[in-house]
Amino acid sequence: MRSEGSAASRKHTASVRSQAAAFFVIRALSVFTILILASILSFVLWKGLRYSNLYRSEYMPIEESSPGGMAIVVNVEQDMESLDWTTLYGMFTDEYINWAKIDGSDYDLQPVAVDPVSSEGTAAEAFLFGSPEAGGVPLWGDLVRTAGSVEEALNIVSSTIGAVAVVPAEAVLSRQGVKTVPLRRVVLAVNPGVTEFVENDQIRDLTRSETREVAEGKVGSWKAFNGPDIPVVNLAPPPGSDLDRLLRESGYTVAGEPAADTAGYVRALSETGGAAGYLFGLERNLAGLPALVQSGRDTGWNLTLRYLVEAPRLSGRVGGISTIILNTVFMLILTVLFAAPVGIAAAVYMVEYARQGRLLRILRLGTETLAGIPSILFGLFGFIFFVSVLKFGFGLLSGSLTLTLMILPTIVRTSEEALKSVSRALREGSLALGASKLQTIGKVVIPAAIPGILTGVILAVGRAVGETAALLFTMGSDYQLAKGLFSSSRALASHVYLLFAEGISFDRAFATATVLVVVVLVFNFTARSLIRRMNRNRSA
Amino acid sequence: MVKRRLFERGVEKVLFACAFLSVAAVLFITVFLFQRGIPLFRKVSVLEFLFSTRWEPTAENPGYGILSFILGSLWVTLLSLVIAVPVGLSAGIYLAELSDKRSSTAIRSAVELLAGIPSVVYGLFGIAVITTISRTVFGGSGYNVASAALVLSIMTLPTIINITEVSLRALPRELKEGSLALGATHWQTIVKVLLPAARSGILAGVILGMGRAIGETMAVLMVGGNAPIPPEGLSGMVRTLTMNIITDMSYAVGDHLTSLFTTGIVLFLFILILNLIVQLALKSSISGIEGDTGA
Repeated sequence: MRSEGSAASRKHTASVRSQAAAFFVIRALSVFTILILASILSFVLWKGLRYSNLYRSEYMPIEESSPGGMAIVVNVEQDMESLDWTTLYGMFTDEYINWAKIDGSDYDLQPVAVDPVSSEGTAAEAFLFGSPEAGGVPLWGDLVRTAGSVEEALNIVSSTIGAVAVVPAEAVLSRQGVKTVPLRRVVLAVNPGVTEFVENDQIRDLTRSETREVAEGKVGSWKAFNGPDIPVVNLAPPPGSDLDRLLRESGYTVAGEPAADTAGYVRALSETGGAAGYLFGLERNLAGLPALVQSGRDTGWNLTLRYLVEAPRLSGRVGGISTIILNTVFMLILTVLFAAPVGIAAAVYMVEYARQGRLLRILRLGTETLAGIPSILFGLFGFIFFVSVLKFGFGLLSGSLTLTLMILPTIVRTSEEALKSVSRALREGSLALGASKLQTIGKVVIPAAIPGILTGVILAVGRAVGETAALLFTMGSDYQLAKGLFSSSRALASHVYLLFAEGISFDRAFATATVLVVVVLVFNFTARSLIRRMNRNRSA
Repeated sequence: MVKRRLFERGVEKVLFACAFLSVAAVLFITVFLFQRGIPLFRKVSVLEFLFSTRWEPTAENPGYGILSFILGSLWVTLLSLVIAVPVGLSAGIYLAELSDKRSSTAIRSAVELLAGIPSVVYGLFGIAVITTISRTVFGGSGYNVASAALVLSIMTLPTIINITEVSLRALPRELKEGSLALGATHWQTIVKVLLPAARSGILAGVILGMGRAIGETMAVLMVGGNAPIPPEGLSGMVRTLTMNIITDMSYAVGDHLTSLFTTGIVLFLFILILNLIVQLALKSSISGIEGDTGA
């Protein structure tokens, strides 16, 4: 007896234990679902809000809006944050023919030079190529267009997207149509010995902070960065020089004895083994010195207010998504205008008029089947029927009609539920008061069911806004503002896909996706709070 | 009065027309797909279309075999179910049987939001995260069967979780109470009584999920690699039926365009068959429950 009992209890313990294990696994997998959602949402939002790009450059992140009293001006339409000196030099020496490699846009490059006969022209020439006393030789490229005066140069820049000019800073003040681009022109120049190969190995790229540490005298030997085993010799620019002032203002400290003058400083850099010191790009070029390369990740705001309110240009490479947001709004309004009345009417018929039986079963089957059809097939159908047979062409109308068919089942089903949940007493009361069936439906049943119906419509719109496959070949893909019902236009979701598929910008795709996700979340929360309020009212 | 009645009759007709629109839409979609797709069989035999892997629609001697894409669709769909079913079942069981109110609200909202995220966003997430994982595990580009299946499994989870929970909750209380009264543990009750009783509902959920997976376009398009070849293992690139339609739509003309509609027909038939199974499963689940309580 006793042994039987203990066997049973042992069996019991075992089953309790296996239950605990099973429940643990189940709980873990359920939590896993939340984790998946959280990781997807946070990843998309994070990538959408912040960009993070690799950079590799010799230039320190010191930006000057009027370097050496000059200003680099471009057309106000040009979308760029800053330039480095090598790029600027390259623009005036035929290194580039368009802006593709500079800011990703495909405008033709038009460098403009003020005629060097004038004093402003001479200043610009000295800024780019160095003054003759310092050994500078003008090397203007063939692309460069010569303007007679500063005024003429600015006129060219303000009328030509893609033009760039170097002019005295004071000439640009309060000037319309042009904008000043900050220049980065400080490098950490080193003695040529530092960058020489040592056993097939060369000094590696430094991070920005490592570069500053070198200049601050905190690094003993170049060997720390895979360089040759030479001690770092810190040199400082002459006190009071432009460079010295700029470094001080930007908070850069420099170790080492200051040189007497710039010429001596440059000479010291090229003659002292292991020497390192900050230098402007121009002087460094003239002396032919190597500079340390910095690389790392650049991060910044990806989704800005500007991105939301500017119109896209160049397939979305430049500008924002304002027109696309508007197109999406138009598309949704049209879709709701089509789908909501029809869907609600269908639900009214199925709940209030249709008798149980074959007809109702067929109607239900139709709705269910329609709900199960994949969006790509709606796209194919919309392409044949709306675009070709009805000759609506690619456009808002074809797209909205296709979407209407897609979201109809959702609206029908939720409206049906909402209508069914209206109490009999309300209906009977209305009928008893002498109202006809139609009056009862229109004045009593539908108003009572409105919150439920609205929830269904919002949920359906939430589905429509994320649709891509059905729209690519019905609504078209023009990123301009839609000019009418038949004008090809692109909505947010398609824009996300096309930004990726056309290889335009992954960052921009994520920024757009973030907007899309936020819209979907807003729809979702609205629908859910409506449902909650409905439940509270019902239970009250 | 007569006028009024006539008006009410008229309104009823209009309402009926609206209700019939869904049916009409299904019929229209069917008719147009077949009308545009069937003519291909004048040039290519049905067998060649379905069972050849030679897809060279723009070649001089064009080949229109979509076997690779049928296999691709089946591969990624079934593989996604292998991942999604265990997780989905567990979450469904948890929601119906084990959770307290707070955690069930959290999980339910997570599931709803997962269902609401647009497929392009899943695609972007897939490119940035899942293909990277896939690349480190399988090597190659990372755009392969495994990535597509993984993205699809996340997308089908909501359907499976929802329907599992609903089917479990729809079971009569007596079943569970009877089992517990007989001395079964909670776990034994779930595995031996509740799950079997809810199996047709759960099956319906899995098949609905399968339908969603097989019809999904954008997300798989972005992570699947899209090479028109038969899929080779987990790390092989894959093109599904849906991807084939959307990839070639932008430039196809003539027979090539027709063949895309024919591809659409095959996809449509797959969906219809799955739908039919769901209807049957749900019907038998309702009668099954009724039968159980009746006995």
